Amino acid sequence: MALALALLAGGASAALCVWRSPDTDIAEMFDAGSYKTVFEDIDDARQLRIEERLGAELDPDETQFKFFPVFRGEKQVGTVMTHVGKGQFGAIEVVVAAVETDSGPVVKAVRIQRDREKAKQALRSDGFLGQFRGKGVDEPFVIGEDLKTAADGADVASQAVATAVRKLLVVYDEFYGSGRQESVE
Amino acid sequence: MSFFRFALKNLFAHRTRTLLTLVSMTVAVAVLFTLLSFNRGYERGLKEQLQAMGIHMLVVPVGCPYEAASLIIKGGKIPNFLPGSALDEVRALPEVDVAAPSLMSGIVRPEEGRTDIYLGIDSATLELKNWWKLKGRFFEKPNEMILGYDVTLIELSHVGDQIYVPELDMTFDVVGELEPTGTEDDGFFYVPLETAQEMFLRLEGDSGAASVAGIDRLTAVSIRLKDPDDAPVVTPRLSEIKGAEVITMGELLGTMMSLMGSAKTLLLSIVMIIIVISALGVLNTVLMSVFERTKEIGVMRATGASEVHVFSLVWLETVILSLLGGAGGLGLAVVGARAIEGVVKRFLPLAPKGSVVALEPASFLLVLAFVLGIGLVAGFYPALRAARAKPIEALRSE
Repeated sequence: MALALALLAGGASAALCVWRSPDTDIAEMFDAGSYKTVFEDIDDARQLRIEERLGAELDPDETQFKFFPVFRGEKQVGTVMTHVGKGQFGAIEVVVAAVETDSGPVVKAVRIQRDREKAKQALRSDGFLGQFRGKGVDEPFVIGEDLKTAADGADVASQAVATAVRKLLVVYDEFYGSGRQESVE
Repeated sequence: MSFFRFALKNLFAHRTRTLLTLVSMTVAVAVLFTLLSFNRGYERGLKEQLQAMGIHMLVVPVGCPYEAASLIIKGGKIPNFLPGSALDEVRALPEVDVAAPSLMSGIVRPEEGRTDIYLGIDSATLELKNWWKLKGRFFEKPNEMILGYDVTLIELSHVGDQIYVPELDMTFDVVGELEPTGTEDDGFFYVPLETAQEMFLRLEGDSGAASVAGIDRLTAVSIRLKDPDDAPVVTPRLSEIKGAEVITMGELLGTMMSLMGSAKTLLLSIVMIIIVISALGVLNTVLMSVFERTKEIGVMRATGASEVHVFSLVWLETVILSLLGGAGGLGLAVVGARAIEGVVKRFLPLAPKGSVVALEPASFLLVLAFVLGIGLVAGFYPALRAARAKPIEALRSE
C-alpha cells in the first residue's frame, strides 16, 4: 500500500513552479536576507541517474530545474527549491530548504505553498512537515513506513509531499551535492 | 540625363539632409501603418472571438449591461442576478434556437494570487458551444465537475480525479475536461447549474432556508437564434423580462471598440503631428535645395528648360523622397509589427486571443497613397518657386 502510494504520488508531477513568497520563506527558514535564481538544464545522463535513484521517471517537461541559493551577507546558507505535484484533490506546491552537510544534502525546512486538500491544516502542521527536518537524500520517504501520514485519509497528499521533498533532494544532490558527477555529453 | 536620374543626383548631393528627412518620413509612416493595422486587427480579432462563441445575444441582469457582458466573456463575478424564471421566458420565444443559462462566481485564492472562476451550466451550453471537444462526459449528478484545459494544467487533475473546494467544503468528481479552446473557457471550473446555485448562495453566507427564488438565479442567458436576422424582433420582447437587459453581439462589439476610441484618437493625433513634422521636413529639404541651386536653375531656364520642366524636376525630388520614406516605413512596420503587438497586448484591456495586428494590402496601399499625397503637397511650393524663377535674376544670384 505504502509503495503504491509512493508510485502514485511520483507519477504525475512537474518540477518547475513559482516560489510564491520568497521573502517570508527566507526569513522563516534561514533568517537570511537574499537569494539568487539559478536554472540548471538536465542532460540525458543526469536524467537517467536521477530516475534510477528515484525509482520513477521524470516528467517530460522536467528538462530544467530551478534552484534558489540563499545568502546571509556574502555567505550561502542553503538552497531553496520548489515543486508542484499531484495531490488527492488537486495540485500541491512544496517549498523545500536544503543545507549541505558532510553526509550530503539534508532538509532544513518544508513548506506547503498551495494545495486544495481536505487535510490542509494537518498537512501544513509542524507535526507532519517537521518529520522531514534533517532527513538526508539516501533516507527512505515512504508514508506509513518511514514517515507518519498528516491525517487519516490524507495518505495520498502526504506521500505527494514526501515524494516531492525526496525528488528535490536527489536533484540537488545530482547538481551540487556529493552525488554530483560530471555529465558525459 | 533623364529627369529621374537628375532628381536622384540632386538628392544625393546633400546626403545627410536627405537621410534625416527620410528617417523622419520612415518613422511617421511606420507608426501610421502599425496603428491602422492594429485597428483593423483588433476589430477583426474581437469580431471573430465573439462569432466563435456562437452566441447572438445575451440576457443579463439590469445594471451596466456591457460590463456584465464583458465579465461573462472574460470571467468575473457579476454583482447582480437574473431570476431563474428568465430562462423559461427566453426559451418560450419561437425564434430562439438555444438558450444556455449560466451562473458565474469566483473564489479568491490569495496565496496563489488568482481567482478560481466557477461556472454553473446545463447541457444547453454544449449545444451552444458545439466546437468544444470534451474528454470524458457531461454532468449526470450534482457534485461533478468539468475542467477547462488551463485548469487541468494548474491542478494536474484529469477525468477520474477529485477536486476539493475548501472554501465550501465540497468535493467534486472530475467527469470531463475540455481540450484547448483558445478562449477564456479554458480557465473555468464547470459545475452543474443547480450545484452552482447552491454553492454560491452558501458562499455568500445566506441562510440555508433562503427562498427558492433566492437560489434559483442566473448570471446570464446566452442565446443562439434560429435566424440571426431575427435579433431586432427578439430584442424588445426579451427586454420585457423583469430585471433583464439584452445585449446583441453587434452592440457588444461596438462598445468594446468604443472603449478603445479615446486611446485611438490620442494615438492618431500624435501620428498626425509626426506626419506634419515630416512633411515640413520634406518641404525644408527641397526648398533648401532650390535655394542652393538658384544659379543652376537659372542656367537651365536660359538654355531652354521651360517652367514645366523645372517644376517637374523639383516635384519629382519630393515624390522620390516620399516614396523612399514610405517604403522604408512600411518595411519597418512589417518587421516590427510582432514586437509592437506583444507590447500592446500586454497593456490592452479586452485583447482578443490571436493576432491583433492585421497587415493588409489595403492598408499598405492607403498609407503609400497618403504619404505620396503629403509629399506632393509639401513639394508643391518649392517646385513652384523654382519654376517661376526669372533666368536673369537666377543667374545673377550668389
